[in-house]
Parts: sequence; C-alpha cells; structure tokens
Amino acid sequence: MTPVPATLPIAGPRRTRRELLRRLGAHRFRLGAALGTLLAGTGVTLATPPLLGSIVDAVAEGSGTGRVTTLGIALLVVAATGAALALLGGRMLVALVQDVLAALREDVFTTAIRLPVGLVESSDSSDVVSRVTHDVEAISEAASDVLPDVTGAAFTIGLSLVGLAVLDLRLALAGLVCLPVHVLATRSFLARTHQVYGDIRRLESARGQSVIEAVHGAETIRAYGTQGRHLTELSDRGERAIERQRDGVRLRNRFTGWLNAAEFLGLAAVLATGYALLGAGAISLGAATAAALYFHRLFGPVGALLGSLDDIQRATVGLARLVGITDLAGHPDDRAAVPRPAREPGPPEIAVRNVSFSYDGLRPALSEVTLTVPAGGSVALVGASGSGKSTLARLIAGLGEPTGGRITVGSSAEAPAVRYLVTQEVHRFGGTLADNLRLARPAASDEELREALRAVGAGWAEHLESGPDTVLGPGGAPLDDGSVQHLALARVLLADPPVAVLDEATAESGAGDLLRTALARVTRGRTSVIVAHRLDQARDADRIVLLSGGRVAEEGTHDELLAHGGEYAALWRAYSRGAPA
Amino acid sequence: MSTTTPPARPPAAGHPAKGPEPHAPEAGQGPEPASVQALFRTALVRDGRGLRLGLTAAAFMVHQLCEALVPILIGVVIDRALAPSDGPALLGWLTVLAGVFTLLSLSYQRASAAMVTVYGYGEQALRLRTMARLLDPRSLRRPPGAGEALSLVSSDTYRVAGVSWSVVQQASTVTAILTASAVLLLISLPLGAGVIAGTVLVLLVMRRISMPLEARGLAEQGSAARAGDVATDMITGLRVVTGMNAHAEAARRYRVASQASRRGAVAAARSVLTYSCVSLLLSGLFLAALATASGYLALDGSITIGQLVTVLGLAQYLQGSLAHVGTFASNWIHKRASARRLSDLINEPPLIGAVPGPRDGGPEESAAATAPALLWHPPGHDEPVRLERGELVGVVPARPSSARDIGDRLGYRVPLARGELLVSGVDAVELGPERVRELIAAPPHHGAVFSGTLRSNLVSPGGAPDPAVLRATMLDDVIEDIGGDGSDVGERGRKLSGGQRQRLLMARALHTGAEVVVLDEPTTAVDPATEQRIAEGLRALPTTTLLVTTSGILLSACDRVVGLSAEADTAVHVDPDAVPGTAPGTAPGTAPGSTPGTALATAPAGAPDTASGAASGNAPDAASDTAPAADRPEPNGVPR
Repeated sequence: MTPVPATLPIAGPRRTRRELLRRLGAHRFRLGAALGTLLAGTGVTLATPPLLGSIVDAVAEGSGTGRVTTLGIALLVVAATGAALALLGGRMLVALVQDVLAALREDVFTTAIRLPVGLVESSDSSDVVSRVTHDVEAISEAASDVLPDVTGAAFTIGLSLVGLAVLDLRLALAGLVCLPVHVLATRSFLARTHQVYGDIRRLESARGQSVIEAVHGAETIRAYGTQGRHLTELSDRGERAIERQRDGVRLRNRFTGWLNAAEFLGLAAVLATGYALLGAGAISLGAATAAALYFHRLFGPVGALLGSLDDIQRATVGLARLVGITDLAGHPDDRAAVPRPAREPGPPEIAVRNVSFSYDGLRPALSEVTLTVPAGGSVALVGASGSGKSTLARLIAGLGEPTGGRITVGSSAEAPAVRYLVTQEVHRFGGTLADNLRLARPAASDEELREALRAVGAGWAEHLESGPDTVLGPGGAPLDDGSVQHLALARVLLADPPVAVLDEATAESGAGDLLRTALARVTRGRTSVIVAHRLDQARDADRIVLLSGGRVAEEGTHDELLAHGGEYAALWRAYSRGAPA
Repeated sequence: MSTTTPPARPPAAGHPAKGPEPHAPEAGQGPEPASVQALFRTALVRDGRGLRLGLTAAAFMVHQLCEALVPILIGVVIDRALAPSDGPALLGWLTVLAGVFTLLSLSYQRASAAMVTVYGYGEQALRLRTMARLLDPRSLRRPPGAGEALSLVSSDTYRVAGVSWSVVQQASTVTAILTASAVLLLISLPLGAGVIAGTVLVLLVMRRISMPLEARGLAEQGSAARAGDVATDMITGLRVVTGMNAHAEAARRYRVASQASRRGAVAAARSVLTYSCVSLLLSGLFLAALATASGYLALDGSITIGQLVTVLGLAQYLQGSLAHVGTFASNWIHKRASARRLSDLINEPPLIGAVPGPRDGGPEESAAATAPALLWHPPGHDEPVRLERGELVGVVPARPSSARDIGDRLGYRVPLARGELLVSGVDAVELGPERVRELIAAPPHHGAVFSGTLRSNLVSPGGAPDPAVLRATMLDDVIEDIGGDGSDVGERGRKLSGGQRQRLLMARALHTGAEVVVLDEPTTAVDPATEQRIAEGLRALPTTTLLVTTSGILLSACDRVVGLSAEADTAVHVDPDAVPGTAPGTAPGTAPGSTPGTALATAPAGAPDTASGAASGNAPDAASDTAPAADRPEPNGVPR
C-alpha cells in the first residue's frame, strides 16, 4: 500500500529475448531434436524440383518409361518421408512449446498472485487479469499456429537457396536480386506498423473492456433498461477498431505490393540467367526448369514468413508484458518455501505507534495513529466512511507499510503469515464448497470443514445436496452474499491465525444474534481488530477506537465512551434508536 | 461510418427488434431464433455485405487465377524462349509475366482492403447480437456464467465472423484449381480429368478424417481455457486471497489447471498437425502421380516438352492449393462449433416468459389514479404490501439474505405470477418487465459501477444531477472527496470505497425519475452516522420509496414498516409445515406451492424448481429449500 506505480512494468526487448532464450535453453536438446527433424523433413521435400527437372531431362533425352517411373517413385518416397518427418518434428515441437508456455504462465501467475494488492488494483483495466489470460492466449496461439509455419518457411527458404546454389551458383545469385527489395520493404513495414498495431491493440482492448463491463453489469443494465447505451458504446468502440484496422491493411497491402515486385524481379532474373546459361551450354533444360520451379516454390514460404511478422510482433509484445511480471518476483519468494513460523504460545500483542499513511503522497489517510491491542484482546475501529478504518485495518494485517511510524505484532520478527484479514469484498471462488474453504487450509478434512461451517452458523451448508463437493454459484447452488461471508468466517477458523483483522466482514450478513455469536467464535483466542458498522459488534469488543479524519478521536470501552458523551455516544444513540429491540 | 450519432448504430447492429429498445418484444415472444446457417448468413450477407463479399471474392479469384498463370507462364517461357534460345520471345513473355504480377498484386490489395470491412462489420453484428441477447430484458432461463459469456461474445463471434474469410479464400482456391484443370484439359484430356478427380478425392478423404477430429477438438478447446478461468477467479478475488495468505494454495490450483490446459493444447495441436500432414502427404502423392503420368505422355509424344514443363509447374502449384483444399473441412468444424454455441445462446428461452391465463380484466388504466403506486402480494404472505404515492415504506425480509429475492421480484427480474405485483393498479405481467422497470427503479443490491466518471454513472448522458438527491444520499460528500463529479471512478468503481459506491448506487436509482424506487439494503457498507443522515435525507425526499432492509436506522425513518413472514420471501417451493405458526398466503394466485408453477408455466415439465433456482441468481433457494426452521430467526423478529 505504499505509493505504487500506476502501471505494471513491461520488459524491454532485450530482456524479453534473453528470458525467452533462457526458457528455451532449458530444453535445448529437445528443441534441437525437434528442429533437426523438421529441417530433415524440409530437406527431403526439396528434392522435388530437381526430380521434376529430371523428368523433363529424361523426356528431352528420350529415355525410356523406366526412368520416368523411377523418378515418379522417388517423388512418392519424398512426399511420404517429408510428411512423416513433418509430423514427427511437429509433434515434438508442439509438446516442447506448450511445456515452455505452461511454465511461463505458471511463473507469471505465481508472481501476480503475490503482487501488492494496491499495485494490481491501481493498474488500469485489470491489467493483471488481461496479462494472465489474453497475453498468455495470444502467445499460445502464436506458438501453436504461427511457429510451425514460420520454422517450416524459414527452412524451406534456406534450403531452397542451397538447392539453387547446387544447381548453379549463378542461378542462386540471380534469385538473390529480390533480397534488397525484401529487406527494405520489411524494414519500412515494421517501422510503420508499430504505431498502427499498437493503436489497434488499444482499441480492441477498449472494446473488450466494454464487453467485460456489460457482462458483469448485465443485471444492472437490465434493471435500468440501459441496453441501448451499452450496445452503442460497444458498437462505437468496435467501429473505431475497424477504422484503424483499415489503416493497418493499407500498410500491409503496400508491403504485399513490394513483395510481389520482388517475386517478379527474382523470377525474371532466374529465367533470364537460365536463358543465358542454357545458351552457353552451361546447364541442361531440366536444370533451368528446376531452378525456376525452386524459385517459384519460395513465394509461399517467403510470404508466410514475412506475413507472420506482425503475429510475431504481437506475441513479442505479450511476452514482454509477461516477462514484466515475472521480473517483479525478483528473488524466489521465501514465504512460499518457508513453512509457517512456529506459533508463539498464545496470540501476540499488536502495537501501533505514530502510524501515518497516504495513498497518493498528498492527502493523509492516517495521521499519527497510536493504539495497542493486548494479546488475545479485541479492538473495534469505528468512524465515518473515509475516516481511515479500513486503511488502518489493512496496515495492521500486513498489507502495506505505513508511510510513517511502525506496527509491531508480538516479537516483531514474526512473519506476516500469522496475520489474517477478512475483507469487505464478497468473493465466491469458483468450484465447490470445499474448494472455497480449503483455500485457507488445503489439508482440512471434510469433518473439519463441516465443523467450521457449523461454528459460524452456516446452517445452510449442512443441507447441500453433495455436501462439501457441491458446486457453488452459476450452474450449481446459488449463494447469497451473507452465505459467502459465512464462508469467509469459516476460513478464519480453518486457518486458525493468531491475529485476525475483520474489515466489515459481515456487512452483507444482516444483523442478528447469530452473527454476533459467529463473530465471537471467530475472534475467540485471537488478537483481533474489527472494523464495524454495526455498533453492537463494537460493543462486544474489549476496546473501541473511534477514528475521525485519519486520527484517533476517542478511545475506551463502550461504557467509557458513552459516559464521555462524545461522537461515539452520538453514534450509538443513532444506532440504538433504530436498532431492533 | 457513423461514429458519433448514438442511435444510428452501425450497419452491424442489424436487429432493431431486440435488446436496446424498450417495449420492443411483446410478452413471451422470444427473440428471432438463430440457426447456425442464419448466423453464417449474418456474417456473410446481411447489411449489404453480400454484394461487397461477392466483389471481394471475385477479386480474390482474379488473384488466384493470376497465381495459377505464373507456373503456366514459367512453362511457356522455358518452352518458347529458353528451349529455342529465342531472346525477343524471352523479353516478350517476361513482359506478359510482369503484367500478370501487376494484376495479381492489385487484385489482392483491393480484395484484402474490402475484406476488413466485410469481416469487421460481420463480427460486429454478431458481437452486438450476442451481447443484446445477454442483456435481454427478459433474461435467459439458463444464463451462461461470466467467463462463458465473455468467450461467447469475444471468441465465438470472432470465429463465426471468420466464415467470410473462409468463403473467399476457399472460392479463390477452387478457382485456381479450375483454372489449372482447364489448362490441363487443353493440354491433355486425361491429365485435366485426373486433376479434377484428384481434387474431389482429397476433399472426400479429408472430410472423412476430420469427423473424429471435430469431437476431440471441441473437448480440447474447452480444457485449454481452464487455466484462464482459474487465473481470473483468483486475481479478481486477490484481496481475499491476500488477506488469508492463500497465495501458495492459489498458485497450486493454477498449476493444476495450467497443466490440464497444457495437455489439452498439446492434444489439440497434435490433432491439427496430423490432419495437415495427411493433407501434405495426399498432395505429395498427387504431384508424383501427375508428374509421372505427364512424363509418360510426353515420352509417347502426346504432349510437347514445353507442355510437360507447364504441367509440372502447375502440378507443383496445385500441391499447395490441394493442401488448402484439405483444410477446408477442419476450418468449418471450428466455425460450426462456435456458431452452434452462439445459436444455443440466442435460442435460449427467456426466463420471464409469457404468463398464460386470463387478463385480470377490469378498468386498470382508469383505476390508475386512485390505485396505490405499488401493491405487492408477496408469495405466501397474507397481507399485500401497499405503497401510496409519496410514502417511504420499509419492508423487513424474514431473513437478511432474502432481501435479494424481494428486490428481484419488485424489479421483475424473476417470473411473476398474475396478480402478484400491481403498479398503479395495473398487473406487472401485463406491463411486461421493461415497462415495469421504467415505473419501478429496483436496481440489484450489487449494482455495477461502470468505468467512467461519477457523473456518467449517475445520470444518462446530458442529464444533470439533482442536488436534492445528492444531499439526501450524502453523495455530495463523496463528490467533494474525490474532487468533483467529473472524476474517474475506476474500473467497476474501484476508486470508491464500499460505502461510497453504495451511496452512488442509491443516488443513481433516485435519479431515474421512476414513480417508485425500491432500494435493497442500500447502506450495508455505510457507517451508522452517515446512515442516520441518509435515513433523514430519504425521508425528506418526495420520492415514493420502498426500503428493503433490516437496518434499524433506516426503518426508523419510514412512514410504515412491513415485516414479511419467514416463508414469504422465497422464490421456490416451501413446505408450509416446515415453518411453524404461519398460514399459507391468501393473495390470489400466490399460494406458496402455486407460485413457481404459475410463474414458470412456460418451462418444460419436470424442470420447475431447478430452473427457477438457477435463474434467480443469488436467490437463497439452496438455503430456504432445506434449512430447518431452527436456523431462521423467529418470524416475529421484526422491529415493530
């Protein structure tokens, strides 16, 4: 929660390349075998033009049908071997690429899930979600669709040039006439497309944002009948993306034009050279035919290779975004590896000393807050919205560092893993009831799960059809917010932390004694801090701290504060006036 | 294209009868059904795309024709210029070649520029249609989850729209093959016939091979997306995960999903690979056969050496075209699968269908002046809830969690029985959900805040915030705090605190100008001091308001408070015996047992409870269905 950069970092091109090589390098033998097999496959099929040329020669020389038959069989063998090697090499490459990708996305996720919440949320557009989903998918798609084509094309081009050179070096040189055109066209294409493709990506992601918001806000849109507004926004954004795509295609068309020109130049040069060499008696008609066919064969692969440049560029951008995240991991995380610190006997004391905090470095959210929560005791934080309650709660929970002052929990050396925060966010995780609960303690038995649910008063859970294995949410058992908060409370019992911070953990569960009982059960035997809107929860706490404008305004027990007749007393009067009898 | 005028949605929107326009669909009339073919038609020919696509396809065909001419010309150059060593002929034919290349390039550029529009707007039309369906005022009986909905709107529409590319590319490939066959037929009848037969054979074989691939590919597509789902789930719940230090477990779960995705992706990629290698093999065999046969023909003098070179060049060129022909089938598999998913969604029956039964008759419209603004017969509750104009009435749900269901019923987000809800004396069923929502603003408790400014979330474009409402909901404080109503609220309103968001949601409902505003637990995240001032503010507003809440502070400001009995607020069947001390409701057509049946009369027999349960979203059916009476607060646990 210290002031954070507004966006997540993106790795530079060199860093990205190094990281990619490092990851591929880990599999260098498999990679070598796969590429070798693919290369061999391409090499075999390159026998085709000379074989066709030989048929021309055989006919020209008037050889018998036997020779043509032999050449035909050779063509069959070439086709079969080429296809078999392409299949084998392709299978190896696909498996390898997916292994590397899976490792990469797992590293990205593992890093992302440990990022400071503030960083993740201040980045616009759920940047992290889009990186771990869209970028991963874009790379995966590029890797499985583009990569095999590109390798195949590159091999074909390289080996075809070798084939031309074997026929006659002068023919190969003639073919290279087109090379400068290719280089210039590609360079200018890449330079210009950078901006346009960047724009297209941004416009498309804005369009995606509209889709996401409309899907998540469908209920609200229906309630207000604002379908028209949202569909119009979606369609406008879609249209802007299409407009920019048109610019992209114009650039691409110009590029294609140059490629076609290069093809013609090269082909004309090869034919003219063939004419000259044939006239001089340096080569046979078959060789001239083979050379022209070789060159014509290159059209497809060259187009494929250069045409996929923008796919590759796009994947590289995605990769840079992913590497940007994995680089945040810095050193391998210790919290994961180190087992939870040994529990001190009994819960610790929490001491907050002169703590200040500011989100933006300008307006203070907390100023000079000092308070103590005795070991095993409970403190309720109350105050108006924006008084700094939640901020203080999160600092105490170890999510973020105070801008000034310090917070110690027990013997200060303790790792933050002993602190546990239940947030006001109501989030039901995907999967089953057990999946939702075992996040807090993966090894918990079914019986422990049931017990925790019973303890927090989640009676509904006992009657689910498939018990803990009941799938929750859409397509399964629907769950209201109060029930989701039951799950959150049950998780505290399962995690059994010495320090529990509850930030309006029961806002959606309504009032009632049941809830007070559950809350009492959850805080029992722990040092606890409770942010409460319902003042009966505050009353149950050992001490009450009233915050106002980021400062401690009043502090004491419920009775003391009532007697004091200050702001808390006024709050309590308002609350109890309307409170259920 | 119209980028600025809002109502002129692009040529793409296409289906003005649905979605955005209020009042449009009459009761129970589902949207225009969409078959797989109809969706393809949308992508291809709707909104004038047909003509454009036809011209584009023609340009692509010219392009392919020129591509096919290149190897033929190579043969001609070798035959006419190289073999006889004829310099002027070389020059002449190279000029022809240059002309062919120019035409080839220009036709391609023209066609691909046109395709952006055809494809882009085709995709746009499908996307908007799918989105409109997801936002259908009558909801869907089986709504897709958020993840599935996203993939329908983005990936599936993308794939189905790609059909236009398939059509032009495949048409031009067929052109190339026909051109080549025609030339071959001119050179030699058997060779031409052979090429045509070979093409058909490749098509048939590949189609045959592709069938088992279809089923497998679909399953694998699904598993490949799983990791993304887990990632989204965990990152969306990041605050919760972080709070409980569950990073390691979250990472472990992601790894499991990621490995499943990896296996799925490898299997899918290998299927595709096998397919394309078989296609490669077949075209290679085809080349060998054609080359050998033409060699024989040249040997016995049926064709000249120049013709042989042309045939060989064409054979090599055809190899590529045939490999493309081989992918036709698999290309359509994925498109059809996506189209089927879209069509399933669009054809999904509405949750709120037609309610059969006689109209109540009677002069409702004329009664409107004297009838209460709102009269609701909660299913299973004896007394109707009555709301007169200008009143502030509190409704206390029997259990806190059933407030959602009350909100859903008053907002007509779940099927209602005839006679259950009367708005100014008129049956809600007659009015239809859209009209009811205009008259009653009953937004969901978890209203969505959209990215943009606070003001854009509060009023429709061009509207002005009402200072009285801002004061009453204490939103003026929030506006001051964030630096004006033009300040950005962040994605999903993340820059606001929970309490600030709730005040915004409340103010938004009060800005609609609806005759009745129903607020569902509007202050759960608001501190008591603010809540007290909001309660006073609401009381001072002239708006006719119904507060569904258990908050004493809010209730104390109400003109009247109605407590609902325990079983009254449940959407699904409740056994009256399970709740002691309550009698079944007497309101017409609202006896507990009859409600679901009546409301879901359009549902297929045998689907009743689960259908309504899944549909009512966060309705507490699971709990209410089964929870014993002991787990509920006493029915009389009502403030007054």
